Amino acid sequence: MNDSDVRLVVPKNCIGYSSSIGESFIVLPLSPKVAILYQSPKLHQECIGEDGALNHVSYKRGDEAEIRALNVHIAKSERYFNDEFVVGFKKEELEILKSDLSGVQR
Amino acid sequence: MGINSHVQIPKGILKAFSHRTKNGNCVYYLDLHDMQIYTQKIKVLDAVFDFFSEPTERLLDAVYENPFLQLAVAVREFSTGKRSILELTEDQQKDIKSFIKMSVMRSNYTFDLIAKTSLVGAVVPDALTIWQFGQRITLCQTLSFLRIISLISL
Repeated sequence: MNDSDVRLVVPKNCIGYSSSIGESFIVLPLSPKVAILYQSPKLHQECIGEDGALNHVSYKRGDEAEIRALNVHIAKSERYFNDEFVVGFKKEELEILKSDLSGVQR
Repeated sequence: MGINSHVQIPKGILKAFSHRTKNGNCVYYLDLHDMQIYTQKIKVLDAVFDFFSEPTERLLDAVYENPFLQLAVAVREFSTGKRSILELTEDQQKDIKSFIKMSVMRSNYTFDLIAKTSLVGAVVPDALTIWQFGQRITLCQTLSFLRIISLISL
């Protein structure tokens, strides 16, 4: 769930593929505010914090950098699978993504 | 009679990212070729007339898209508090896997890979583009999904 100030984007291919700590995971954005995170049991275990809560389940205000990074992974996956387009609810997140992909600070 | 088919991204997903206009629901999209932002109606973006036959469209809808989109609605409702509990059945977990596999199989990457590696693709370069989707699925199944994923190095 994404309650940060940056909305999720969705690629033409519908899936974003990436990896963390050597384990791959797949993100399926369902709306600008929610996505399915499909990950291996090992990565799932790694995401459980000391308090027993599952990390990467809810992004709040202040977590914009994580969502921006996720959007970059989604766009890179799309480049790999189709190299066509990513969709956003507003122009704003696409402008941010555009600058993130070009390496320009925003 | 032909119909407009969304080649990869289902209309139900596009709708969740759309805004209403007097011309219908539209989305903004970033074209990764020219890096420009455009707007388009959701019934037009990624839609090609007669790309899939009507039986194929029905099959895709019944087996892959509709089960996934029903789950998507449930997840969205859960995320907005309209649903207090969200439990995924084993069938729904399979629906997610099937949708992921189908998304990979429908991508340009997979078709390019098949065109490069298959005997048919080598002998008849256009063969894959004129085949009916039902046959494409059969051909795609000869490629292991894990093999495709293992080739990806983002």
